[in-house]
Amino acid sequence: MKKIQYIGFALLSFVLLVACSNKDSEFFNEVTIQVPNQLVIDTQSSYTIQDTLWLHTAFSRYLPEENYSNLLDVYQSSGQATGFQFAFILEKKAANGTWEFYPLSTNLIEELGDVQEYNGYYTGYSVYNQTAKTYDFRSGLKLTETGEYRINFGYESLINQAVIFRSNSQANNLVVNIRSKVAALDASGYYSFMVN
Amino acid sequence: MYKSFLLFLICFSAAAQDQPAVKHHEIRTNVLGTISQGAYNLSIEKKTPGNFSYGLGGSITQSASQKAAFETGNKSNLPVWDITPFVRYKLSKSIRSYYFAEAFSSLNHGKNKAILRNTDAANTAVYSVEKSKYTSLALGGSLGYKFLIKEVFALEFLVGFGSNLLNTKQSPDVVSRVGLSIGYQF
Repeated sequence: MKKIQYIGFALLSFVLLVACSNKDSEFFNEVTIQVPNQLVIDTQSSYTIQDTLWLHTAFSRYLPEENYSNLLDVYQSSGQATGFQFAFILEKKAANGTWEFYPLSTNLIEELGDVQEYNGYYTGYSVYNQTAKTYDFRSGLKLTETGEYRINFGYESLINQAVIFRSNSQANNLVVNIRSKVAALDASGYYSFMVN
Repeated sequence: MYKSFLLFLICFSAAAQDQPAVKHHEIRTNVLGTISQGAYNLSIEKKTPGNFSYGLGGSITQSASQKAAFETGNKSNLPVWDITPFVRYKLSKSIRSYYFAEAFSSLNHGKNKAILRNTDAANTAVYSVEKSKYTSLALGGSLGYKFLIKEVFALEFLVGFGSNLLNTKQSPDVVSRVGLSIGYQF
């Protein structure tokens, strides 16, 4: 009986050991690269009512990639994606000191690409420019109330002070994610500003 | 359904009380593999006079859902066929129901997909999903339990894993050997 237990234990240990190391089965149809400063917040030293805070991108389809000497073609890699999407949140400090989502509605200006307001966040969409071979976006946040505001770009912003651009790859094409540090963000992942 | 199961248990318990004559060959198929993976398989096993037995199994995977998961979904490997020789050691004395340990090797063939970074003539890189075929050889071990019904039919549970040793970039790290098989002894 003891022999059975020893053999059983040895085999079970082997089985568990082998099963623990498995790169297999799961396949994620996407790649993520890191390229800093592809989204710019046009910061000002101070803001007054009726000022507009501009966000913009104009990143090339050919981007440098860490650990490689040649450029990566994100347009071809994403199956000729017509755009890259990202999300951001604009918050205003309420009278009781809590931060609340601030809806801009008609004060959200779309100049290049596309920007949409949802319940609790905004999405921006950088569209591919065939001539310049860049992904372009320019949107303005018109500031019509005094107060304390802050912008972040979701989880990546809070953890890495970055924004994630995600290609709108069609069918079964590879999705390309670009993780890009945003220079204007502080260590907590926010760009904070006051409107007087 | 419940009555049928009770009847099965009673028959099995009654049958388990006598030691049947030893039959030296068994042919079986893994029903679980066929239903869950679309793997059509057959194994033959020969018992030696002692506690050892040895045999050979083979399977071909033909599953539309597995194929679709590989072609367009989040599955990185698609097994196509395997040939699996094995050696077993009986861990219990009973002929009618017993545990066993198994060592096996598996010559396995399949398809794999991976994301590769390729550089074109203009020295620009492009990521793409590329599919390839692999053939590898795995070594592994299993534990199982077998019992006989009506002296000639065998029901077998098996759990085991092996590690692929060849073409390790394309082939899966682990080859699993999990089964619920029905066999016939002669």
